[in-house]
Amino acid sequence: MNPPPQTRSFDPAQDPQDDPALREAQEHRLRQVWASPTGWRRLFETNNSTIGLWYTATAFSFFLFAGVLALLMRVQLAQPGASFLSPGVYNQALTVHGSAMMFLFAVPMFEAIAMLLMPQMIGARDLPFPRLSAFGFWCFLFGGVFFWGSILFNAAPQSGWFMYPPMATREAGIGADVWLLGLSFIEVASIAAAVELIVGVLKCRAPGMRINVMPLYGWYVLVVGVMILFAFPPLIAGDILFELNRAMGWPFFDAAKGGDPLLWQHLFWIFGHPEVYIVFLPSIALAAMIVPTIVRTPIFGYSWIVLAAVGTGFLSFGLWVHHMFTTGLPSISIGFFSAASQAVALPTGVQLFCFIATLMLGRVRRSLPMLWIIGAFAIFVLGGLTGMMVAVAPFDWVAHDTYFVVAHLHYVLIGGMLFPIIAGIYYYAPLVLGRTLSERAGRWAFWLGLVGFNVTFFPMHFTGLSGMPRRVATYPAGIGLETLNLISTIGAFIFAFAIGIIAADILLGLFRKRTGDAGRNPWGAGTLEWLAERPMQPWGMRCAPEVSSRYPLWDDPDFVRRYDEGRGLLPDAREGRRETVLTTVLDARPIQIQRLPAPSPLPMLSAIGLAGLFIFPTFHWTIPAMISGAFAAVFVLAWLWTGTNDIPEAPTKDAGRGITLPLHASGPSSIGWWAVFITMTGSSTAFASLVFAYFYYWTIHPVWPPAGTPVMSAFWPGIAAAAALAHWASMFAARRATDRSRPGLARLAMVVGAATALLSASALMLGPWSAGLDPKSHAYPATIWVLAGWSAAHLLLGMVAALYCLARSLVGRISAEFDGDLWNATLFAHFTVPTVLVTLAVMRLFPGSGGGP
Amino acid sequence: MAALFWVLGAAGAIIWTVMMALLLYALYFKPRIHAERTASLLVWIGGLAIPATGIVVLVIYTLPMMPSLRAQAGQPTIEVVGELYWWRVRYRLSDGRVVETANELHLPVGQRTDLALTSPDVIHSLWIPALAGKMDMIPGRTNRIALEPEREGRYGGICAELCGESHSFMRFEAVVQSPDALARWLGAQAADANPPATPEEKRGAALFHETGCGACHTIRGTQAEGRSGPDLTHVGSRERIAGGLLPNNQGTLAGWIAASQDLKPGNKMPSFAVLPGDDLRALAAYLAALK
Amino acid sequence: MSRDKTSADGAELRPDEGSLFGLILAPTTWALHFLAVYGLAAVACARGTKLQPAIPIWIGGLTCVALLAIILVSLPAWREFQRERNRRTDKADPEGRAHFLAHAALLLAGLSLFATALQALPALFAVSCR
Repeated sequence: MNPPPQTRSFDPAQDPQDDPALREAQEHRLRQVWASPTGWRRLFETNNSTIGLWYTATAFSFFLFAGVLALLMRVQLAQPGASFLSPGVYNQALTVHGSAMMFLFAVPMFEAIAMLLMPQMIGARDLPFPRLSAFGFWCFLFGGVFFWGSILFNAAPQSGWFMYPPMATREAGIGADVWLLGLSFIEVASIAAAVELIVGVLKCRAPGMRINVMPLYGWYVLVVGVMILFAFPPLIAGDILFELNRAMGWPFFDAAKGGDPLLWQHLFWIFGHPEVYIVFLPSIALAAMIVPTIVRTPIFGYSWIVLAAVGTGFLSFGLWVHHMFTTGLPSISIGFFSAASQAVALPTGVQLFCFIATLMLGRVRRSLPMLWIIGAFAIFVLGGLTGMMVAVAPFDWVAHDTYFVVAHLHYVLIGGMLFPIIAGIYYYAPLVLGRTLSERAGRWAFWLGLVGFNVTFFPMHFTGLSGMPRRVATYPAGIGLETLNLISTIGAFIFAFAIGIIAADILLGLFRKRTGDAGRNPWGAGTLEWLAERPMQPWGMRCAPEVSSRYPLWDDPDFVRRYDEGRGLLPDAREGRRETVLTTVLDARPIQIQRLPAPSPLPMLSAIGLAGLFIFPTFHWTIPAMISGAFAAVFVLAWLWTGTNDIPEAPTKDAGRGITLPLHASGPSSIGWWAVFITMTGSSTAFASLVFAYFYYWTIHPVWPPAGTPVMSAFWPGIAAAAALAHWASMFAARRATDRSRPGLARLAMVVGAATALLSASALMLGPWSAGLDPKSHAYPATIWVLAGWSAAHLLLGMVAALYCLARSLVGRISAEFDGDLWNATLFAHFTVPTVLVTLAVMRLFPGSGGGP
Repeated sequence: MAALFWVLGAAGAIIWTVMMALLLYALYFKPRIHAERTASLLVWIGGLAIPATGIVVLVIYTLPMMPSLRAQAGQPTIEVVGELYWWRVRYRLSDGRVVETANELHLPVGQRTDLALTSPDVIHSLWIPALAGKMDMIPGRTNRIALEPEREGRYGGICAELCGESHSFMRFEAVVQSPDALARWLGAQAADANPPATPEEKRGAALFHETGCGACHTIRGTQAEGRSGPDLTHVGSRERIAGGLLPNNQGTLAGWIAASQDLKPGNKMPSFAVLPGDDLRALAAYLAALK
Repeated sequence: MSRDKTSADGAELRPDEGSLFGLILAPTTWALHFLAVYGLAAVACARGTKLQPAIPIWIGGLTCVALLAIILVSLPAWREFQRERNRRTDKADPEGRAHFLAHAALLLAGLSLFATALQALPALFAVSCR
């Protein structure tokens, strides 16, 4: 049961915040609570400002490394027939360059910047799951270093960043495993970040910040977070099939045994195309924050931009086949994707025109961030237009896999992602680094960067059309490619020099602590993140101010003073705990005070354990991997045990301004429930991708399942279905019994829930086993096994969840009032049981699989 | 296709210029701050009406191009197989004979020819930039591509899909000739290999069999019937060898046999560096004479 | 008991009050239509040679249904928007919020109509399984 929020009359004339001594004491307490641990314990920090900064810095260094690889490749291509890099090393360089730019820079950079800036933009002290942020960061760091390190040992993958089988499944050495395992690990971190950011945007906004006055950045983050939930899981599913193919010989992509290499291309691009927008939208979101400030005018066409963000998010899932126009698909299928690829230009165009319209409504101040935005605009529009060209299939048949596409994708990504991010770096440097970056160096960097970029990539359009495929380690003299390639190489070094200037400016500033503190809110912006005090304070927000417009700092001249005097919610930290206010999704009415965990080593330890689980199998070290995985499980359980669904010292607390808020919630009102729901949505997408694989095989095989496949009896699938339903019923029963304060009955139901989950999982695996389905023999049994394995793994997690609830119940931490764990476990079952039933239906009921008509 | 490029390119250039002009106008050259009405009009017309119309026109303009560019139904007479890192080309003659050669694709001028494309190992992609778009060669599938060359000549072709270490060296040539010339050429290719003439060639022929070359290569009319490497029956008649990497003469043939792995890392032919120079020369002389 | 747990957010997530779900109904219809026509064509081309001549008819029918569905799911937003056309969408009050959601939902419906109709063009101009 969740106590409702209570409001009593509040007399502004008797505001306790009028007392300066009280305010000082509050500030002192807040500072103590939010101060970072010192010394090496600083590594245990979970606060978004610190983690966000580490995350950003790490992603930026991976960007610089990947850029160095690009330079090496440009040196190799400067002359025909060069042998600066051997073909094998060249293939490693191009694979690591592409993969690192995408997986170690573009996507993590979005997560990093959102983590760093978004909480304060929406008036929150921190993100809702700070330890999850830290966990995501450590996963990213370990996975990234591992992946990156491989090229230093000449052991990197060589099949290009989209790793097409059968070349990639047959690749010798550990390179492909490094790619799969190292990057899967980072994909997990991305989903963690998505959960965190979606819940953050929806539930952690300042009181009164209704959905229509939320900064546009929040909208973009929301859209991108949801996109990640639907885009990354197909890749994770693909990775699972890929690694099973590679390590165990399950022939998912092996044409000779009923598999199909094209299945990987579908799964990869269902991820890969939305991914382009996943990196583009959050960067353009920075522009949506910068442009209004530069012209001191509210953004024009807020709803239009929301339309653009949501619309792009949807349409971007209808484009994936345009990466596969030359694979021999039917013209009509190509037509659908060609049309959808053109349609996506519409929301993108609306977005850009809203920016132009905003600029028309105000007086423009010349400034570095705006300069980079202009550059971004020029480059991105060109890339978008060449995108329209390659969306035309007959043109794409020529341009596909040539330097034309290399030019196109760099125009889109550098114009749509890198330039806006650099604009963001210049814009937010005063906030994050505490000083403005050098204006003079910035102008040099901009002009060198703009010229260098175009000198590098513009000629590539022609290099490609005159016959140079992408990913060639060299090219012969005399077919007209020498001059264009040499120009590109020269441009690449100019561009790299420009990036070097920016990196040096940031680094020198860190070491020399030059002056240049521009003070508080130097750009005169109107949004909440610029409330940040000078000198910087650790608390994120002094208090949660009541917001009543899109640009509160512009619209209310008294806003900053009231904020500084703590005249908002939660001006104090009396109990010495980190806290933030939770509000409702649409209207941002305060409903709860969320206690946030203190710094803790558990996220880092869990990430280390998980890193072992993912990295050791690369070297076929099974036992260490299992030990490592067991450590990860223990640390994750310890993390759950401490600091989630804690029982607070009192049911409610005075939040200030006459509002009393509950300190605890369970079920759909609690953020934990939301997190489980969102995570499981992602998990269901991965499962749907595996089911898609089954039906994909059905479309390409005239007979499916193949003739001679052993027929599975109905016995084990029947037991599995019955046990799964019993598991579901038990989890419900446990919750109902808890609700009615009958702990004995509830515990019995939990035991039954755990036992039935185990039974169902075993029966699921015994079905194909007793039928003698050999996963190595054909794609059909392999697909059945992978579906069964996926469902069984979820059931085992359901069993752990039931046992966890039992343990919590036995130590008295589950009761009718505090039953959050049980709600979450039941929610997990809501997702698991349908998964099991769909698996069984595919196994047994699909025509030809033995049980059907 | 060139027309399509110029239409799209010109339209793109105009759109880019207009958008940049609007941006710079709004930034630096507007005489005064505009009313919200103007801004609204801009978004409605520039952001919505014009792009939507443009997209519809573009889709209707380009969609009908597609089916006519694809291969027709029926079994093509030429089959191209993407190998690690070379091209196996098979011609099915009207009399039922099958002629196999490598790295040279002979096409009749002024006629439409469909090719059947396959691959036994990894994905390749066949591309002759001067003639047409590309089409992937995917294990387990047979794709088709239609070529309709308009002028006689030799056109370079290349693999467009990363296929391994020596991907960049996987080239070939399309030889476009008159239908008569093509028929003559096919007739010559269909014949068995010339027997060795000079003593050096004879020694080469013997060496070819002793060294086991026949395990991988076919020379029709001899015992060499290996299938995994290129058919060498008329290797001497080809303009280039090793997937277009080298011109074809006795010297390059000898060099290739001795150092194939250095020249083209990762290909399936081992370097026969142990053979003494004399043997290499004899082998190469034999092969070069297989016109 | 358990009703309490669905509390404050529950009310705001119900589709009838111009909730966040109202925003995505139209584009979700686009997505379902897209999957349906793509799946139909893919299966017809891969397995059912008998089905192929009927592809344009099927796609035409599905497109009409989808367009109609988009219009239907957008009616509540249309009514909300018509209530007071000139209301600003940036007011931080419940009416401003509802008006904003209606406006954004309508814009998305427009985009979805456009994209769905565009999706039918291949059935007119590029019907071929080759």
